[in-house]
Amino acid sequence: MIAPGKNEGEHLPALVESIKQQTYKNIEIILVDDGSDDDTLQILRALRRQGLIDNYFRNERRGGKAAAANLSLRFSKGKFVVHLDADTHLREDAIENVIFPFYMHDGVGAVGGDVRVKNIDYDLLTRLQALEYLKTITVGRIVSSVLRILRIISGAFGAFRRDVLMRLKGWDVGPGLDGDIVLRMRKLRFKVLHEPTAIAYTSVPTTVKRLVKQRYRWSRSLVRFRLRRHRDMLSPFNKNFELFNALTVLDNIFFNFILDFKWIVYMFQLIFFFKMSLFTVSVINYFLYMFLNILEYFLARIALGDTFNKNEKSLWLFLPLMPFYTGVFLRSVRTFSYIAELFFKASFYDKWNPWKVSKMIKDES
Amino acid sequence: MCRNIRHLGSPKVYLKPVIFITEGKLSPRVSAMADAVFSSGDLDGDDLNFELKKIGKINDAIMKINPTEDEREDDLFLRVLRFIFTRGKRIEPVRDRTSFFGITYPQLECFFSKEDYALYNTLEFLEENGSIEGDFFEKVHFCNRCHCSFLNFIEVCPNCGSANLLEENLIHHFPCTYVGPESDFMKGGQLICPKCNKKLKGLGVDYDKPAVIHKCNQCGFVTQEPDVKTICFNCEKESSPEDLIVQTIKVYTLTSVGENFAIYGFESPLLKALREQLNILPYNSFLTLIQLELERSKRYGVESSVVAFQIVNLNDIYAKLGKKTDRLLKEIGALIKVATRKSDVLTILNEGMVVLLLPHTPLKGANVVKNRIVSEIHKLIEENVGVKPSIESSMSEISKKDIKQPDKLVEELLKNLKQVEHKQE
Ligand SMILES: [Zn+2]
Ligand SMILES: [Zn+2]
Ligand SMILES: [Zn+2]
Repeated sequence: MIAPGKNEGEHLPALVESIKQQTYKNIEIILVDDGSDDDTLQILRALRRQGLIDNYFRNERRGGKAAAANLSLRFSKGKFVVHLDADTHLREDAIENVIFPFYMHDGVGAVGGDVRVKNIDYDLLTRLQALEYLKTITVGRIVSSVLRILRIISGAFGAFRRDVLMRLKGWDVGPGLDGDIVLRMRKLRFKVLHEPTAIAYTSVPTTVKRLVKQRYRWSRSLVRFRLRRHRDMLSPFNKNFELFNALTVLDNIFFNFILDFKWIVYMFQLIFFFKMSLFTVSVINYFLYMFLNILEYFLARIALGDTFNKNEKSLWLFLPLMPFYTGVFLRSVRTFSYIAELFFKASFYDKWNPWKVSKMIKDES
Repeated sequence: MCRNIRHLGSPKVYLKPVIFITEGKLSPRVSAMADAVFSSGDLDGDDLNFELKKIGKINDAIMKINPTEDEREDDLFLRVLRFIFTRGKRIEPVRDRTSFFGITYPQLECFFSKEDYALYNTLEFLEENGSIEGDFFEKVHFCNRCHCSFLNFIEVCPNCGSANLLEENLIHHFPCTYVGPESDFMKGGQLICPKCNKKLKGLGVDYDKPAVIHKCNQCGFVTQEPDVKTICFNCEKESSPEDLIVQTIKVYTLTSVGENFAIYGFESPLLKALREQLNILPYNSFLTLIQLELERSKRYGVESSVVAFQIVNLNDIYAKLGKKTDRLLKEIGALIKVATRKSDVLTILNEGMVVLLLPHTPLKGANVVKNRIVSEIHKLIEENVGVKPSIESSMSEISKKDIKQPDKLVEELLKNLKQVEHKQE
């Protein structure tokens, strides 16, 4: 169990507490401090002295999340490595359930946990994000997992076979480290699954500004890793080629990237050439989206069964707003960051990774 | 020899300058014990003059000291203070490996029995009561069992406590974010990344060393922050650094208050502490009151009692307590206050010797008061100082039957002082 983070000290005691409550007990807890400048180190020391964690590491100078995770991976011992974000909170059976699929199926390299929203009832923005998580993570990943095209495991909660991680020599640098490791595993022909009964709760951004920043970071990784680094997965002449892997990448590119640009062109056409039918088309579109959202919401409800909590049950009231949230707001943010990444390589200057690493890669590529 | 002189009774004697005449070379500590050191062979005229002048000054200062009115010996605090007064009003620590404490005040050492930590407490007490002022010189860690300062600081495994640790640099290869110990990268004398198989270019260019790790050869645990443990070279006690005694060693100079004390003697610390809470009479007034009680008993048959008790080893307790002495004395004062009535009066004779007059109290009642006070003081000292106090006590009745002179009565009382067998309840 490893959890890297910078200045996350305040979240750590609660995280450790939720790990101690797990039904699965044989857990080695390693926390990694990535160059914090607050009292995180003191908190780590105290946790170890009290015997609540097994070990901790730290990069005195910040090296990025991947380097922090790799550092602890190098000295971890268990059969499986569970990667957690410091601010997540695990349901008490989460670890047990996330480990289970490794024993159920052969050749499983990684299992992603279901990430749900902790602060649903904060305001409208968190409710919409909660719906979005149910749609994309819960339903989306269950479907991808069944279709064997799952392309991402949340850094917030995912389990990996340690021997496979060691073969890959750990995570790679970059904003897309959660997705990147999955693709590299798939290149080695390991299965990657999603487990909806393994549940971690996370707090989502409560202001539009923070939400936009978070989504910039997420979107850029697509261009960077799917397009630039894993081109080989698309080429049938490559020794790494495998149909499902190619589909994984294509699906991602097609649905997020090409469709986004097609949508812009489509909107332009509507506005400039078909002014008369703009209203009609918008209304039809709205109800189409709405119908899809309702469908996905009820699929999530069925798939999640008992774990669907009170706050999540009341979310249906907000379904009518979802087309605006995902169709207009999120799409705009995403498209803008794709453009920024494609044409300006913006993610190399991403604050999320320290300067020394980013500059290196830019020089390399 | 030096120690013998410093332990003698009168200030005129124990403060005497000491000159060492030696053939060889003395350690800084031993030579600092003397006021002057001459080598037996050649004596340079100028040097000799200079030293003699210094000794002249010491003798002048000794002359200024008023011999105390009473006959009692100066207590340790006053001895040390008077010594500082006569030695240029300043006392400096000396680092010396032959000292048990590693750093010491050699001249003052002679006032104490061998290697006694009370030296540091005494100076703290004098600083606390305003006699001397200290300037920071150094901080020293002392063993918390034997006060030795020769300690071995070692890094140990947080998992199993073993000191058998192997230290290694971590390397972080930027392009692929592999992080591992330097040995992961070592291939045929070159640094090659085990993940991307690239040769490392240079420190700061494509890799850095973000931290140092310590691998335990005993249990295999890897940590970046080993625990620190100390082992005393004298008594072998193991402890963690935060449990050691940390003493600030200072250069001390006499204050004007201290100069006054040095010349005229201290006000007794016990007297000072008790006066704040209790009705303490000068000895003469106390005798007058006893006279009064004697008269009353002769005429009206009133029965009163006089009680005396003495904490015999109070000076040892002071030396052990240092600056916390005042607090102990205040607590003693408070418990005497609780045990007595408003009409009771007391006087203090020598340091640690208290005499109480309990009017309208027959011997039986006085005995209860006496036992209560003595056993409470006993408990207080034993629990807080960790030293068994030696308390002596006696009492006498003022009654019609035997009429005495007040001073005779007190004299007899003091003659009868004897050790109280203290029973722990
Ligand atoms: Zn060990
Ligand atoms: Zn490398
Ligand atoms: Zn010791």
